[in-house]
Amino acid sequence: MKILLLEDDPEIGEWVRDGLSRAGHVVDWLENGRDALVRATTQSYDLLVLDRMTPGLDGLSVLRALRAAKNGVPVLLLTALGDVDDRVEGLHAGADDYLRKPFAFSELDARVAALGRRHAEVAGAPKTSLTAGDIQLDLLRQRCQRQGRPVNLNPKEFRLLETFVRSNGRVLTRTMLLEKVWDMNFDPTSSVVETHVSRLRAKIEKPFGDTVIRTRRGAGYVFEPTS
Amino acid sequence: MSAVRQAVTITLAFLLIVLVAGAIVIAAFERETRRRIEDELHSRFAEVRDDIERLGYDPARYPEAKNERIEFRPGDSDIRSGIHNAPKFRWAFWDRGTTPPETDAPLDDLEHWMYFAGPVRGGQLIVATDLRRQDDFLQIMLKTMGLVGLGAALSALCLGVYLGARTQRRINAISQALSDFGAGDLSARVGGSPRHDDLGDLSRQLDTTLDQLDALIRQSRNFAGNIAHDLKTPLSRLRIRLDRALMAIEDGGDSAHAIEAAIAQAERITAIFDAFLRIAKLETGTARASFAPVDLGHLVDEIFETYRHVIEASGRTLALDKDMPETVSGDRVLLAQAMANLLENAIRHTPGHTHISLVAHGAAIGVADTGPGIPRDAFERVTQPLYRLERSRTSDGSGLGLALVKTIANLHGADLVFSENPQLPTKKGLYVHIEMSQ
Repeated sequence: MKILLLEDDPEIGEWVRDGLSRAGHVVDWLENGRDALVRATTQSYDLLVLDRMTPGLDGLSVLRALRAAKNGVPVLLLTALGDVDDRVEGLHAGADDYLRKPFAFSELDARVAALGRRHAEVAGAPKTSLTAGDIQLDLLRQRCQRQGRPVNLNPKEFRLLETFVRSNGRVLTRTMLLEKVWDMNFDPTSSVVETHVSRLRAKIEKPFGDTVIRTRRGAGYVFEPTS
Repeated sequence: MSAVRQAVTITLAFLLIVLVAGAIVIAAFERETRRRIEDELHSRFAEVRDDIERLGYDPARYPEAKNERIEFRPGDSDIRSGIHNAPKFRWAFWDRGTTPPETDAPLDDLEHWMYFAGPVRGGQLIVATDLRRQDDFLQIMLKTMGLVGLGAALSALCLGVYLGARTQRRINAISQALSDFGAGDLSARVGGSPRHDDLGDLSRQLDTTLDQLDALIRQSRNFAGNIAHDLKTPLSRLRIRLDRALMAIEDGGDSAHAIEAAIAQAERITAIFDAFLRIAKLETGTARASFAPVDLGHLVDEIFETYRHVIEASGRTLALDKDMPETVSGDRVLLAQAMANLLENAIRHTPGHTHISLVAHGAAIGVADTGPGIPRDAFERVTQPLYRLERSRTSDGSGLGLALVKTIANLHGADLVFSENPQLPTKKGLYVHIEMSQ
């Protein structure tokens, strides 16, 4: 992917650029918001990673300007610690995702991958069913079948599985799952995600004697359906 | 002593005004009396002239009086009828029947008289009146006015100095209190003044403000001290783990574990800062702008669904206790976080097999448990940032969970209430709840 990075802190900027480059992306790194806006409007990028507070023009203003000009490029917003309303504000301004500093690189990596895929998917009519390997999800009736046998899931478990199926083999971090499934923008210290994932696995894997959800240590979970 | 200087200035100005006013009054008075004397003199002259012309001049009829002289000089008269200067009429002050010496020897008395002279049949007549009467009167008036003016000025000066000094003292007290406070004495207050004047009101207002500042400063001092204190442990652990990682690398061993442990400590430090910043931001109250109706029944359902299995996996149980939950105006995410914090506290600080309930009664939501509870006198303290009961010092968590819950409660215009679990007959356990209004 071709990624434009706006980050004024040299150490963080270098770290993100190197990490994303190593993950196979082409990264243009700018430190000034005004330059970033010019670059984003004159060149084509697959993803913009914008720091919220930058000199010249802050990341949020860059995002607003782009959206006002009907530029739909996916944007991941990076914000500072303790900004309670930033997520809401950022998403409202048209950001596709949001990440709070400081973050683990694996978190950024997973989100960048997810955003790139989202962009590639052409928005069509909303799907009423999802299929991944031998797993079928009926989104209207919230029913799940595996190998033709019904699997009884509660609403949170269904939503969790749906998120996994949609992830298309990409890493989902604990925080991403909390946001997508529980709509929590805070980090519980207890094992909310772990507990629900292990319950889901007990229902979707155990009766079939295989593994579809793998734990990626220090990163999160990966859904790998068997066909 | 600017107030005294002010009083003196005002008094001097007052004196000047009195002097000018006095001079004007005296000048006017002098003019007026002179005019009257002239009138009187004129009519007296006319009266005497008529007498003389009718009956002839008889000196016996006009004896020497203290204030009046009337003299007749037979012969031709060349003077005009009217007020004249004194020296012309020296003869009028000489013994009758003798002729005054034709010298210019001073004759003091002459100066003090006013003369009305004019021709009458067979000679000239002069009527004079002593002006000293008027001068005396003027003198008395001057003296009186001077005394009154001086007295008034002195009184004004004294009063001014007194009032000025008093005001100065009160202003000094205010400025002293402010500078003491500024220098770090947080107990400095203006104090005193029960008077209901401008300065009294100002003093009271200042004292109230100083009280608030005092509280704020103490709070933030505590806060800063607590942050520093609570960061000590994770920071030294971070240091130790990085040291271990370094040693592992030097020994050619596996450093990944030590580095992961160091990252975990860094995350804990981040969590502490994050919670502090969130509390600080929430305390500004700006989040209230995004309040929307929140169905508390629905909210606890979701929390229940999220935490039930987590709590069961820990060996405890979670029950839902709903009684006519209401819809309130609030921030759903923050209220969910508050409930999550309370549940996580319940997990962290109770033994296994504890029964935990998620409560939604009317506009109140909270968490009750059958654990050991906390001492009543700790009910207030546990919501202070970083406060922990001694037995839980070592457990995980940022130490800001309850402080954040309290901040969220306050944001919703509610208080965080602690009590024993009312569902337990033994009056033990703990029930923490937020009681909101609709």
